[in-house]
Amino acid sequence: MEKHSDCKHFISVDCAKGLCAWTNQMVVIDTPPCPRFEALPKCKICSNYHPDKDNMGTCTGLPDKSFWAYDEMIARNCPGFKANA
Amino acid sequence: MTTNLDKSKKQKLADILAEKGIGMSFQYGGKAPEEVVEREFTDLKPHPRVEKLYDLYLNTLSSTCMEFPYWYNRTYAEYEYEIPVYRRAKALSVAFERTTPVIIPGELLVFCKAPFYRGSFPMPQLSEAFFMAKEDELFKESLDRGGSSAGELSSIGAGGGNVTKSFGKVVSIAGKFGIRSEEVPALCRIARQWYKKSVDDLGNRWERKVPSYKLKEKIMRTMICMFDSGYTLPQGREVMSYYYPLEYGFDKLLEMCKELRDEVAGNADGDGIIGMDRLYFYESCIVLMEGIQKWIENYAAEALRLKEYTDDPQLKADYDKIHDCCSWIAHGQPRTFYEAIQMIQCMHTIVLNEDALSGMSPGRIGQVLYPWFEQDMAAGRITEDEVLELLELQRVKFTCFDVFASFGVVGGVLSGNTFNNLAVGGVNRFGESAANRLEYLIIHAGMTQPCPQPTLSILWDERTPEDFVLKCAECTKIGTGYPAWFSNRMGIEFIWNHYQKEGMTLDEARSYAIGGCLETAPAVWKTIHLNGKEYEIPAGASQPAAVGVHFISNPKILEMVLFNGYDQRTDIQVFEPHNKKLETFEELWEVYKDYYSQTIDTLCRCNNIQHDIWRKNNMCIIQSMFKPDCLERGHHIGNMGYRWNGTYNIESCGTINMVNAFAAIDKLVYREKKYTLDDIRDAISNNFGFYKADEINSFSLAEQVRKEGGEKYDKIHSDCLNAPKYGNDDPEADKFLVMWEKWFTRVAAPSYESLFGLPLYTCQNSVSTHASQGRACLATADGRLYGTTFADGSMSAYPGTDRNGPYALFKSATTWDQSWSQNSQMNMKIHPLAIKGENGTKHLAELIKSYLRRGAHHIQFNVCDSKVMRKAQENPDQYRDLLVRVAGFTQYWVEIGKPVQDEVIARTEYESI
Amino acid sequence: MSDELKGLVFDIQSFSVHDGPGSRTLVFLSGCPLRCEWCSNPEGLEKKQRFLFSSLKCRHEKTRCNGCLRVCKHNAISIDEDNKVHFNLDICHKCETHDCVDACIYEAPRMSGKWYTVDELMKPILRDSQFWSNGGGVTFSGGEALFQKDFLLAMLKECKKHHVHRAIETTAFAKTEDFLEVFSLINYGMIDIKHMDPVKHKEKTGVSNELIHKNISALAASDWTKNGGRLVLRMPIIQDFNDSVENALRTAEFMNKNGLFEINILSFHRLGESKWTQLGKEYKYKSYEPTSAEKMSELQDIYLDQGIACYINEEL
Repeated sequence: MEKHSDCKHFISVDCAKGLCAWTNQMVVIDTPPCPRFEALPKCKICSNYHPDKDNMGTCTGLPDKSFWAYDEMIARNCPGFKANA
Repeated sequence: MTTNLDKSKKQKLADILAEKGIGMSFQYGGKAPEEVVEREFTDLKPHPRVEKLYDLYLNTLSSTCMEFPYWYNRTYAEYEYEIPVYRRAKALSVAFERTTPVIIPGELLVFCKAPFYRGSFPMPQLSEAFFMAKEDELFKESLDRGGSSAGELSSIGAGGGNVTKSFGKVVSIAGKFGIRSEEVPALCRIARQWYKKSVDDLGNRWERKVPSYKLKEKIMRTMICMFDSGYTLPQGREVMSYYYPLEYGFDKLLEMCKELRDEVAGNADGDGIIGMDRLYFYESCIVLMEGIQKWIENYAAEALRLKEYTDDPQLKADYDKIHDCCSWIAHGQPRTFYEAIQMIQCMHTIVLNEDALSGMSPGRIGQVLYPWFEQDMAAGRITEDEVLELLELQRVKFTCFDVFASFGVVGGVLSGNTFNNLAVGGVNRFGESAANRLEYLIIHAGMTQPCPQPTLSILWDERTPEDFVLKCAECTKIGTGYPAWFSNRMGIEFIWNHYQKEGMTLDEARSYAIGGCLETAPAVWKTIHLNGKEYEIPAGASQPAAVGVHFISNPKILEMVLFNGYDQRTDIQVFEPHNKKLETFEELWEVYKDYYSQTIDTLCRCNNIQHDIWRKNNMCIIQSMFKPDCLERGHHIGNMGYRWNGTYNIESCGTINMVNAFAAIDKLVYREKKYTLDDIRDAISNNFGFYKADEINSFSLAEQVRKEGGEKYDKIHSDCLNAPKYGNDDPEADKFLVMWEKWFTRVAAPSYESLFGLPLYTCQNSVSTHASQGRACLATADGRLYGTTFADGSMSAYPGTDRNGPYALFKSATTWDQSWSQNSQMNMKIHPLAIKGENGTKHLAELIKSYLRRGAHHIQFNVCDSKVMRKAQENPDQYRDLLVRVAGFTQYWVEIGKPVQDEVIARTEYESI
Repeated sequence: MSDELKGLVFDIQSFSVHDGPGSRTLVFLSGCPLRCEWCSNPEGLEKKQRFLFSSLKCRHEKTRCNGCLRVCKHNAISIDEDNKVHFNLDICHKCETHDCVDACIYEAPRMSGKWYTVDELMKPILRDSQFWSNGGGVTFSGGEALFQKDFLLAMLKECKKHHVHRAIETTAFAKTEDFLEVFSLINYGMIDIKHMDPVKHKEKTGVSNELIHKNISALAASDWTKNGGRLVLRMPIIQDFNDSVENALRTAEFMNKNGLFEINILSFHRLGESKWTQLGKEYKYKSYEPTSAEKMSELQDIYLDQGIACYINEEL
């Protein structure tokens, strides 16, 4: 289930809330996003990420071949990120 | 800021007096109305965008996430085969490159430590024990976070400050930081990666090799010492150097590093021990700088990206500005004031991300930024109003800095403060006043945008211009507690005296500033070249100036002496019993010095090891790039690349209670022989007939409750309370202060060496340890009761015991030679009506000068405005020493009935600034 | 310098900034011939040590200490059902030993007033003299400083020897020759002028104002000002007593007639109330409000219009 912090247009303020870049209004992270939602690159939607349990998994997209990673990590600046088809 | 008198009345008054041949100099500071300069800024409010950003901060929760630590640790693992310094540089570089930039709409100064407006992150490579211990608890918390209640979300989630307990999908760490529950397993995993490998663990493994380690353990458990040094806050309490990027820009710096690397590769140049290390260091600088450049460029890109999502023309313009600025400073020397102050924000942020630190002081940035300020103003590129806005923004940004240090430290000693100390005033290398117009604006920003950071200090010198002094005094009157006032001459005396062993000259001594809250730290002069003009600016050049031995509880050592080395509170035999009869004061004093020396010795050795592990495995590289003389020498901090390395010290706490206790024992036991030492011991063990503070769960002196049968201690308690007390210009008390300081500063501290082979010195400010260490200390012979707070700072009198006014207190505080101590701390409460108006400002300034001139380091004020008085109404017991001064009449607040209190409050508000 | 000569002082305050130029050390001498009903230093009215009890400082409710009870020889202390301590101050004022004072560690019962020789009192003054600024010095106040004229003269002579700037706050109610003798050693004088009408003056202060006015005129007519002395009259503005326009005009007239041109009007405040209670006396001005800013400004305008420099409170 998507939340605001999964969206590209979310500006992070703290662990509970942030600002919507479109409206400049405060949004609480754990509420349903609006139709303008656009997925922010995160491990959990990367094809090089293989989820396991406890919100963690394995990353095979970087030169070190394989390392643990976690679902929620933002991957905007990760050279190995490849969006899921 | 207006006085009650309007202009026309002032004119009338002036005319009447002029007729009688009396100038206005009698009253209004020497200025007749026609000459009174209309205040340029009569309105003490921040600029609108700043106000919004500060409001946001107040509603932002202290947050943490695993992004930076993740990349650091993953890269660190990948390069496990590498030379340690390079391995660490590479890990940091990748972390910077990959971390997510966050820009809040409305900001002009950007850069965040973590992807939050107010964020930080744990550094398990320093200490992971807390997370390991709490792992199960944290895990469980995160699982419980399944369903989120709308109520919780809106109430707690919408608020700001510490995350004191978990709510919604947020887990609270240590009652302060909020982390998303989804990330808790990652946190635990990273922590586990460092099990037995962190600086804390490794340091502990090796410090056990010190023969007196068991003593050290006992000293820590009984709170004779407050906390460890090496893995808690290994950096900070030092002054930043922003010089190199400001002078060269990152591209040129990279070029220089490459040239230097090529020069030293494979050459020892006569140094067979660390000569070869220079290659690895320069290469580390290169890889790290490349990562930092990418980080800055990511911010430029972020600004451009956000521009796409908004229609607001102001925001669009802001984002363009940010983009252009960051794009430039990623590569070139700052050209404008805006680029320079942005560079400072950038550098300060990256330094904070490298280590757990607190007290990373910007230093004299009014002087550092002056070249750009002067040229921009002259060319009409910026107005003072725009500069002021940027300075206010800087204040909010610095206030947003959070520190995620070792658990015991954050809530305890620091109380959440990050102590970024900005100093104004001082002198240049020629002894001329260094205060300038930009510093005037910095102080003004401190008044229009009052917030905790950066905290302000003035290095007052006789040559500091009077109008600047009065501006700072006005700022003090606002009641934020800043600026703190330092004697520039005393600072120079200390610095020069201590660092001349490392070759410091008088000229160089003059460049010093304050690290952390009160830690006088040395610097050097560097030259900025801007558009063909040269400017000399100060640049911090020292190791952290408060590491080594953290906070020894002076009164507790006395307790150990009295009870043969045994701590009743924890039932631990700490020191070897001395078994001396203590028949004279001299004998008591000898044993005291012996126990104290043993304490310093074991703590010094153990902390030296902790710091040694730190510098071998977790050395700082970013500051090593930016602080003189690392780039010149090719050595990082661990290899003594900094110019000044003898910065390790011994911090003490509770000095005044110890002094007063000595005075009481000397008088009652040894001179008057009214009581025996056993009588004193008995009274202390029985807390003078009162219940123990934790039995009644209150640590305030006024709340202590007497036991049944406690009356038999009345007489001895009364005698102890009435014994001579420091702060009254009474030699019978003050002589013990002199005795103590002579030994502590000139004999004890210099006898010990840091891991860098240089002697220690003393540091005498308490931060907030006077409360925590007071809790662990039994009653003391000065009449203080078990568990209650010690006198604060180091030169403040024990509350209620200074009876003869401020001048007597000043006299007592300056009986000893302060130039051998890094600092002394005097906190004073003052009522706003005593310093009201223009005259009041002058009185305050003169009060300060009269103290600093006599050989004192420091004084700062709590101006008790109406807010404080309201608090005092609700909690009178915490304000027992609050005095109200109105027109020559002084009264203790607690003695005034409520109606009159209300009157005073009303009057204060009406007549307030 | 006589060793036997002693003065009774009930307070010494450093860093006083509203009692003369610069920052000053204020010495309060005991004893006063007036009995102003609004007095904010009631413990200084009589030339003897006074006993005070502050119930707000007493901690008995919390601590059950009973320290004072156990040592009181006169049954002056009682404790009610709410565990509040009460002192029968009529009894206390007759007590000679005041043993309760030493027995209380919270200083709820205390003695006000200490005897000093000239040398002893010079000590804090000389210490503070190293810290004064902006033309600071010592200010003698009280009570009424002139009440202990011999001691005051000895102190002033000693201060002069040490180049200490000397100011006085006084009612000027003393024998004219004594008054002038003291003023010959004063640099800066603040004299209260409470009401122009002698009858009204006596009603509320216990004495008439003729002697006071005579002294002020004598001082104004002398060479004192020419020789550098500065005189500022003072008037605490008390509602329904001296706050009328008429009184202000008459005061201004008096000043102009005598060539005086500075007056400091002070807002009424009740900070002294607690001390009346601590002495067990009734404070008649309990329910009076502080003087409004408008009233103060109105009065100031009257003086300014009459060509007199009038300062409100700390503006001076």
